Amino acid sequence: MKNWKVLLPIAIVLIAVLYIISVRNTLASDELAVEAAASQVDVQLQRRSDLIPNLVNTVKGYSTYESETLSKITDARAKVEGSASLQEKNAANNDLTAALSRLIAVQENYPQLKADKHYTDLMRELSGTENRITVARTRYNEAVQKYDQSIVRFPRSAVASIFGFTKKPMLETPTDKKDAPQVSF
Amino acid sequence: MLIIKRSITLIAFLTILLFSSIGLAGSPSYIQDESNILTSEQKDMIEKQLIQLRNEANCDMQVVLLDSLHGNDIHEYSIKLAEKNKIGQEGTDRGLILLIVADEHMARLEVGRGLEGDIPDATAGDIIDDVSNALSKDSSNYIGAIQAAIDKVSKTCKTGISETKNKPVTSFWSELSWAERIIIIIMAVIMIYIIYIGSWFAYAKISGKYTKKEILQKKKQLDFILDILQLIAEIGFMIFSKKDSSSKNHHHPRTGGKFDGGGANGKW
Repeated sequence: MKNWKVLLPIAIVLIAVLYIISVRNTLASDELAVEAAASQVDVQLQRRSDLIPNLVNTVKGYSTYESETLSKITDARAKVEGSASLQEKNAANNDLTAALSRLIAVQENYPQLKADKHYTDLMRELSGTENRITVARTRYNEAVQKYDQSIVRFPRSAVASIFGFTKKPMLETPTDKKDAPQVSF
Repeated sequence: MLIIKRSITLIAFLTILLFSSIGLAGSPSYIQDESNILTSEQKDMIEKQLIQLRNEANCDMQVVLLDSLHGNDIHEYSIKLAEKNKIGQEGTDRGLILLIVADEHMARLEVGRGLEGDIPDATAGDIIDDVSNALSKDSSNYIGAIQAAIDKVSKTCKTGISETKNKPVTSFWSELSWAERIIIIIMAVIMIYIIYIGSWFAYAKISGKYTKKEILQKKKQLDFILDILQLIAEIGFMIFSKKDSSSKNHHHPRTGGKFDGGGANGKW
């Protein structure tokens, strides 16, 4: 009976320690998943930004009147390049999307530009990259959601605060994508 | 009962073999066309081309035909589909999905991670242009549009050439390879045999008509037949599985591939 009284507290402590270790490991791997998803978003944002100078130069050759549209695009790109955090970069990228949509709106006025294979290829790369950004951003937000959920729920929240895990911000999606219906199979 | 035990082991062994080689029941097929926009001959034709594409260029491509997106964004639908079907070999991620939406006159080529170099978005756009052009000329020419796309894909990502044979699919039985058919037949025979053995020995025990010597003789005889059955099953499996497994698995594209949203879409 003596043994029982000694062993029970030890067993409880041992289980608690094991639980804390396992929670910490889960949180750490969730956090890594968030970081990996974040770097994917960053790669795609950068990729899009890298396409802009080439696009601007191509358009310049055809449309001498659209210098304002082009300078807005260049400015928006500079903001993307100058962003420190992923959140900032994402927001700047949404501005870039707006600036680019102006170019797409006026491209009808320049049939020669629209017929240029180089231009159409660039626009395709651009819209493809836009789509990749959307995909990467969705995956990032999903990873953040999973991570954040496990941080706020008790008793995990206690473990999270001991080891200094904090909530991570989501990335904002452009407004026009928000109302799209949810795909389900 | 040693013989019954052995028969059960044999059946278990064959079942494992069968399922390890079939094991594809829930996996996606090359052509997903729930509203039968294509005829079955056309599907066979496309499937053949897709198998050839896989053998020549190591690309797994799936063709999905839809009536409508029901208000969904084609990008979003297509990437969700790609994340669900995971077309393409795991690791190499050389998968492609050609999505054609009949009512909305939209098409999209979703390009797997491993093919983004071979098929950059601009090339994907060219491929989708071919699809749109074929369909704007003749809005019912889905087969022509799909074949144009497959042709262009195979031209852009060809790595080597090898011949392949393939039988058209008509039913569950015809979809099975010879090895699987033989295994199923042998399993059935063994099953019937076990029932026969069981009832024979039960009868022998209850009636007491047979002497111990006779029963022993019968046991030996059954053992011998069972040995032969096992031998046939094993040899049959060894011969046919190697020969057939490659062509059989062709009825389904490989899965496990990852997609990052690359590709292009268009309208007609």
